[in-house]
Amino acid sequence: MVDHFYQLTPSFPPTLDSTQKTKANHQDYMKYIAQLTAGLIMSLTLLTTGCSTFTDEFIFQNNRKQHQANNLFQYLYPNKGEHIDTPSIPVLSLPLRVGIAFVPDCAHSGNSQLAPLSESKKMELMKEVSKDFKAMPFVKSIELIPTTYLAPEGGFANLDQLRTMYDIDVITLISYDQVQFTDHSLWSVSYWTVVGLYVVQGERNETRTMLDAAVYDIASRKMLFRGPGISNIKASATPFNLERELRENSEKGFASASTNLVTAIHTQLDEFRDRVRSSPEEYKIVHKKGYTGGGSMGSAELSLLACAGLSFLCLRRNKTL
Amino acid sequence: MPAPKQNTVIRLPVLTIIMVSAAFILALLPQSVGWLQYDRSAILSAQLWRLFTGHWIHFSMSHLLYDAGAVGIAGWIIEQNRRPDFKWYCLLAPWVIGLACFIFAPRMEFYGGLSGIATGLLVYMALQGLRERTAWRWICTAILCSVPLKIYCESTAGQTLFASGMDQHIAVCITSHVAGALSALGWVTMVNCQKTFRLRNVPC
Repeated sequence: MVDHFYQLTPSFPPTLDSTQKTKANHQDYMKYIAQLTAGLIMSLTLLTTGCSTFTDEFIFQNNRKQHQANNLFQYLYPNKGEHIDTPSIPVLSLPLRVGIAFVPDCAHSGNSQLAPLSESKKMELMKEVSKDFKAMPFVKSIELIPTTYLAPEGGFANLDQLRTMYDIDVITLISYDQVQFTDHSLWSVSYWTVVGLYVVQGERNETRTMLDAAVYDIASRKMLFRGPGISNIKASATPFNLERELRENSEKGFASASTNLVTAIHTQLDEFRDRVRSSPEEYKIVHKKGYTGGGSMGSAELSLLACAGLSFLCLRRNKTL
Repeated sequence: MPAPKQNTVIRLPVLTIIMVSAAFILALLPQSVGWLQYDRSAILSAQLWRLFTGHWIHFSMSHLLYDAGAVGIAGWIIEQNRRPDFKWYCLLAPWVIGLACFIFAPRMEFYGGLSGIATGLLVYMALQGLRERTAWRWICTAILCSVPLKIYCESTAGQTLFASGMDQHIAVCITSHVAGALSALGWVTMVNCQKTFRLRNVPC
């Protein structure tokens, strides 16, 4: 059998001359084979174990998804829609005092491993939104309300408390929803080279963010208008900086969505003004005691009056007047 | 050479110039606001001149330009027709409008602008124009119809709500416009009645 093996692998080292075959040599050779086999088994075991960890960590962990959100509907209607408030005609007492707050995170707000949106970040976003309101002459004051003052699933009862506490008429409730997806690209094959893990950006990730601001008249329970801010960020990273990249993209997503939100609110605010003008039966406007009154001569009136003046002048020049 | 027809001569509208330039001068003197603005609390503490002077205080440049423009055009047209009673109307109207705001708009703390007077001048001008027998008469009829229409739109369509071009919230004071229009209507009616009465009493 051994001879047959030698014949099959004539060049296999150590090359043994058939004439030098002795019993001692045969034992040495068998020892070598045993060592080689053991080495191979060990290498194979090590390699498989390493591969398992390696593949688990970097190759086969496909389609990772992270989600963080809060829910406006759950905050306002915690009893799953059983209770329905009947909205009445909102009475807007001008100038308005506006509150801005983030909807509190609910217990099952998402499965994110990332930290939720921090309070300081929320304040920054609220300041951005408040700039647009401040520019409006009919807004008297703006209160940025920390999330800690809002009870999870507090509903309109909680808003009534805030109304008294902050002396506000309307409130802008901001909610958010962010999902992050991570997939492998074709370049992830290079991870097998180990060096590829550090240099090849084979992890494709996508961050979808939506901020939504809904403006409610607290007294009448009626939503005056709402505006969304949406952002979609696509990036890629190496497996080793994936977590950092996801955190950065999360922040970028919120920043970009807040910019879009401000633009949307501006548009919605203009549309709301037009709606109030065109549908006075839907909104009642009163003025707070101590308001300031003034004139309303506009460009249209002045233009018509200028035309009348010119007509007067022409008629006078033609001596018909 | 025949002398030019009296009506074709362009006269210098002295009263209008005084009214408009006073508004511009006060705009350049921000410290005057504290003493001259219509301030309900101050009026209640016997600073009655504010009922008159408050009309010449404006809240923004656009506010001033629009109001001054309206007063300028209407005043100029009226002064071209040499109305001797016009100076008396100019003296009386600010008091009437200020007093009307004080009585009928008790929630309004501050007021500013010549718009009430401008509305009064428009109505005055239109009522005088009705006596003409030319196309001007129809223009004045249209103006006269548009004034109540404008006031109605202001009161119903929520125009007062979001006055643009202001740094702060300024509600359009409909009371001042109504008072301006009614004061002109009352004044012209009174003057005409007086003229009619005089003519009737002239011995033949």
